[in-house]
Amino acid sequence: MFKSLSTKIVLVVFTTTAFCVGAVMIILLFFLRGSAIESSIYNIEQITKLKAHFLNQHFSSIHHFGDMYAQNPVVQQIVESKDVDYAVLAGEVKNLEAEYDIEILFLDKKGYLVTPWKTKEQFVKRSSKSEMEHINSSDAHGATLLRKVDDQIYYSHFIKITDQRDRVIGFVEIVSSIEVLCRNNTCFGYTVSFQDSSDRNKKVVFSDSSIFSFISTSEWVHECPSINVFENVTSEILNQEVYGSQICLNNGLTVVFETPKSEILSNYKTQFGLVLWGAVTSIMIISIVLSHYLWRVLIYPLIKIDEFVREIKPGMLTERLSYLPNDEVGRVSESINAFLEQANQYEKDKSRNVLELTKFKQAVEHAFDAIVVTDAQARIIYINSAAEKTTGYSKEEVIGQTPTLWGGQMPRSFYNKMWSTIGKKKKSFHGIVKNIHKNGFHFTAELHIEPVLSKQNEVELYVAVQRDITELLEVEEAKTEFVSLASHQLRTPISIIKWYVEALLSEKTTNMNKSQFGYLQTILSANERMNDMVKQLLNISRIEVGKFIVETQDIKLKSFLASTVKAHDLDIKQRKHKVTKIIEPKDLVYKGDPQILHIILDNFLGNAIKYTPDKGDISVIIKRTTRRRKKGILIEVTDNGMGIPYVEQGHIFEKLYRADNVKKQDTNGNGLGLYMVSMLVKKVGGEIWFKSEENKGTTFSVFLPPMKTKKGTKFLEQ
Amino acid sequence: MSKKKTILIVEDEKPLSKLLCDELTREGFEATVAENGEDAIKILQDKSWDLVLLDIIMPVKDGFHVLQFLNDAKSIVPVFILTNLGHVQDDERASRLGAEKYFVKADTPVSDIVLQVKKRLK
Repeated sequence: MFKSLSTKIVLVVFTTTAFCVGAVMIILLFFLRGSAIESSIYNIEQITKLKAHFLNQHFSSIHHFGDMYAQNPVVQQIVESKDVDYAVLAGEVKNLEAEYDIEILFLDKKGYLVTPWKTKEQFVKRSSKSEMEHINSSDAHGATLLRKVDDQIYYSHFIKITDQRDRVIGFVEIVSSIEVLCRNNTCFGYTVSFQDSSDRNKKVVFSDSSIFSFISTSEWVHECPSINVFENVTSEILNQEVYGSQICLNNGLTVVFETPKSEILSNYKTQFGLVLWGAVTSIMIISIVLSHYLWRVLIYPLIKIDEFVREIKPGMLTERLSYLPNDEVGRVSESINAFLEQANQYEKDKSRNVLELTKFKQAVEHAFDAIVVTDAQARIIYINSAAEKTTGYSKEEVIGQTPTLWGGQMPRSFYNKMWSTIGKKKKSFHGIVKNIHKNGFHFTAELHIEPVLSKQNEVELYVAVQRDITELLEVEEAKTEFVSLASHQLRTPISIIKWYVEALLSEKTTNMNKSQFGYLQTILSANERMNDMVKQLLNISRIEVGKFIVETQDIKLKSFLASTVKAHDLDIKQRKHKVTKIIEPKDLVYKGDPQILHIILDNFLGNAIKYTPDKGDISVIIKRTTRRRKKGILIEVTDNGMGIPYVEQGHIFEKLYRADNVKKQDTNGNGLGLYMVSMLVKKVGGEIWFKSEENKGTTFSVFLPPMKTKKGTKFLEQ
Repeated sequence: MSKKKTILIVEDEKPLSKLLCDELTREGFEATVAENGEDAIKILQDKSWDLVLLDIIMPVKDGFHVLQFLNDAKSIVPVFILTNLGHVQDDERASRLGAEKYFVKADTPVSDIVLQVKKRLK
C-alpha cells in the first residue's frame, strides 16, 4: 500500500506519537477536569466564607445600632410621641446612616413611622400584619425581615423598644439595601430578583449566574453550623445543576452560594481546547522531528547505499562504501563491502581461471594423444585435433554422435566389460582396442576411459584418452622378429665355434702344445662372451617390453647363494678373492623367480670379482627387511675394489654406460649388466642403490619384495 | 655285441650335424643326418629309430612339422630338441608335441648332449 519507506515511517511515527500524546492528554484532561472542579469548589467555599464574615460584621453593626437606639431615652420618647429635643439625635442618626449607607427608622408599637425628621414617603412600606406578628414575637435579638420594594431588596432589622415595665412601646428599624451588603466587591454588581415577598424563606439572588441566597429564620443563632458544600445539585433558582456551598449567619440567615456546573466546566473547556491544541501541535512537531531523525539515520543511508550499489559495475569492484555508522546500517555497509571484496576476489580468480582454462584447453587441443569427451550417454561433446587425425572424422561430424563411429571392432564381451567398469562401477578402464578409421583401415589404440563423477556420484562425463599404437605394435613385432632372428642366426655360428673348440679341447689324442691349447681356450672364452652378450641383449629386449615371465617359488637363499657363488668359483680362485656369504636368518626363504634373482646376484657378484684387485674381500649379505612398509629381502654385495668415480655415479645404471676406470682396466664389459639389473629390479617392484668410493670399494644394495607370478611370452635367458 | 642304437640328427647347419654325428659315432651310435624336416619325415617313415635329435628352424619343413608327423604316426621315438630359440612358446609347444628334452645349442656343450643321449639310451 505504501511503497515508500519514508511514508511508512512517517505514518508509524505519526500514529505512535498521536497515540502517546493522546494518552498523555487524556490523562491530563482528566486530571485538569478534576482539578478545575476542585478549585471551583474551593473558590465557592472561600467566597461563601468571606461573604458570611462580611455579612456577620454588617449585621452585628446594624444590631448594635438597633440595641443602642432602643435604649436611648430620646428615642423612647419619640416613639411614645412625646415632644422631645431630637436635634442631637437626628444629627447623630444622619451621620450613621451616611457612614453605613443604612436608614435608621423609629416605629411606634403599631409599626408606624414616627421619626420626626423623616417623611412617610421616605419609607413607604408599612409592615404587614404577618410581619408585625413576626416582629412582636421576636426576642431581645430582634427580628429580621427581607423586603422587596421597587425591585430593590432591603434588609430590615427590628429591635423592640420597651418602657420601664417592659412593655413594647415601639421599634427601631434599621434598613439596609442588600446591595450594601455587596460592598467591597463581594457581590460583583449582580442583578437582583426576588421571588416571594410573603414567604419568610426569601431568597435573594444577586448574581447573573452565581447566587447568594439568604434563608431567613426566626432564630438567632450565635454559633452556626460549619460550612456545607454541595455538588451536582439542581438549583431551584437557576434551574440547572450547580456546585455550591451554604453557611448560616449569626442572625439566622443562611447564605447559599451556587455556581452553575456549566460555568465551572467552561473554564475546563477552555483548558481542554488549549490542551487539544497543544496536543495537535506536539504531535505535529514530534512527528516531524522524529521522522526527520529517522529519515536521517535510516532512509538517507539506505538511499546512499542504493545509489552506490546501482552504480557498481563489473570492473568497479574495488570501490567501497565509506558510510559506516556504528549501527545496523553500518553493518549492512560492511556486509556490502565484504561482498564486494569477495566478488572482487572471485572476479580475479575467474579471470585467472579463464586464463588457466584457456591454457588447459590449448594443451588438451594440441595433446599428442586423442582425447574424446562424451556425456553420460556416450554422446561426443568434444574431440581434440589428435582425435580428429586418429579417427579421420572432423569435430563437426562427431559432435552428438557416439564413438561407435570408429569403434565396434572388438568382441561384444570387450565392450560389456568396458561399460560395466566405467558405467556401473564408475571406475577407470584401460585396454587395447581395435578401431576403424573413416577411410576404412584398422588401427590399434591404447584406450583409457575415466568417468567424471558429479557430487552425487553420478557419471557426468567420460574422458577417453587413446593413443594410436599401431606403429608401436608394428615396431615391437619387428623387434621381436629381429630378436628371434638374432637369437637364432647369431647363436648358430656361436654354437658351431663353441662345439668345435670344445671338441678340440677335449681331444685327448691331439698333439697340441701348451700355447695352442691356450689359444683355443681364448677362443672359447671370447665365444662365451659373445653368447652372454646375445643373452643379455635378448633379456634386455624382453625386460624393456615387459613380456618376460615371472614364475615364483620358495627359494632357500642359503643354497641358492652358494650355487651362484660356486658358478664363479674358477674366477674367484684365479683372482684369490675372499668371498663371505651371510644369510640372516640362515634358513631365510624368499618367494621369487630364481632366474631373476640369479641374474641380479650373478651380475653383482661378477662385477665385484671383475673390478676388485686380486686378493680382494667380497661379501654378500642377504637379510630380511622392511622398506617403505613393504616386507622383503635386502641383498648387499660389497667389495673393496676400484669403486665408481664420484662424477660418474649418476650414470652407472644407464644403458651401455661404462665408468672410465673400468674401461681402462677391462675391455670385456659391455655396459649392459647393471642397466638390465636395475630395470629388472624396478619391474618386480624392488629398489636398487649403491654406495661407492673410488679405490675403496662399492656396495650394491637391492631391496626385493616377494615377487608375484606374471604371465608373459618369454623366459629370461640364464 | 648288441646292435648299435640308431640316432637321427635333423639339422640344417652342416658343421653342427657333422660334429654331432662324429661324436655320437665315436660313442658307438649309428648316427644319420637329415638336412631338413621333409627329409627327416621321409627317413622316419622308412625305418624306426632309437632317438631323434631335432632342430626347430629349418628350411622346407621345420622341427614342429616333424614333431607333428611323429605325433600323428603315434611314434614312441624319444626326441631331443636342439635349438637356439629361447621362446617359452617354442619350448612348451615342443613339449606338448612330445619332445623329451630341449637344449639351447649355444649354451650346451656337445659333450653334454652326447651324455644325455647315452643316459637316455642306456
